[in-house]
Amino acid sequence: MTKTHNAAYKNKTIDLTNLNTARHMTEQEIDYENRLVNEAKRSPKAFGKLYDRYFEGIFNFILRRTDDEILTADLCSQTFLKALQNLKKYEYRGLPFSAWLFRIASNEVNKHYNKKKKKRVYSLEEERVFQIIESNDEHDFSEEQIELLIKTLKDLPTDVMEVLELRFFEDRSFKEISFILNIGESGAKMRLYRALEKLKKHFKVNWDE
Amino acid sequence: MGRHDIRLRRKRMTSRRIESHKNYYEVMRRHQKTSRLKKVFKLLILLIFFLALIFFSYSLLTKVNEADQSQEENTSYRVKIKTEQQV
Repeated sequence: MTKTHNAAYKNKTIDLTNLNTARHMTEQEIDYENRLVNEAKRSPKAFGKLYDRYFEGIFNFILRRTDDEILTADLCSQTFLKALQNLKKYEYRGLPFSAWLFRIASNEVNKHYNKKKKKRVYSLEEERVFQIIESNDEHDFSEEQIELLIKTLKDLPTDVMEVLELRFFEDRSFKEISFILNIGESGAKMRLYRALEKLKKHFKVNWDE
Repeated sequence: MGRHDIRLRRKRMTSRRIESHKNYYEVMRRHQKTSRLKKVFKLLILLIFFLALIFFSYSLLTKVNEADQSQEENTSYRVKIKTEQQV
């Protein structure tokens, strides 16, 4: 990439300010969720309500990390099976139940890649990418610029990409990210800032945490 | 070379399509199967434990009995010798 090209890309902005706040649950929602979990602990048949509630989210999360519909369905099923088997061990610790499911799903995906020894894939929805990348200029991002963004994301370490994906595509808080990835909250923040620093080399990034 | 691939998907998968992959019945069936297997495994372990317990208690009892018997034999032998000596 030439210097002039880089200078041109610098003018483009990735506006992330609308993603500063993570998905937040009200106390009522947390109470309702805890009730569902307690019901499911007493009777596995009641787990169906949790399954229906979180299936789509978990499916999208796994699909984004595999880009294979059939494999995603398998891993998704495995995730819910593991959750059902270990439900009695689950305890509410100030995080939504979905964070626990995402942690199981993330472990299942990692297990799959470790077993198959394949290169990891992040399959991002174009629609969402365009939502995240906002141009302050009059012109929209060109194909070339999108390609540069993909290249930048490709060059990021996988652990950094994991945090980036959970923050921007799942809207998870740092507390949830640290729980899902089993890392410290400061570690999660550090990874994200590292990713943003890399992105800033080619794009103008607005980020106020 | 990147450490992972980045792909762009044209469209987000529709809820209806995701719904088609839902199979709660299968999850429940697998759960019941694994919990049944776990129960059988636990029962087997319990059975082995009890069998081992019975075996050890039996062998302990026989050892105690043998010891008692040999003690009795010893005492009766000593009594016999004593009476013989007295006679």
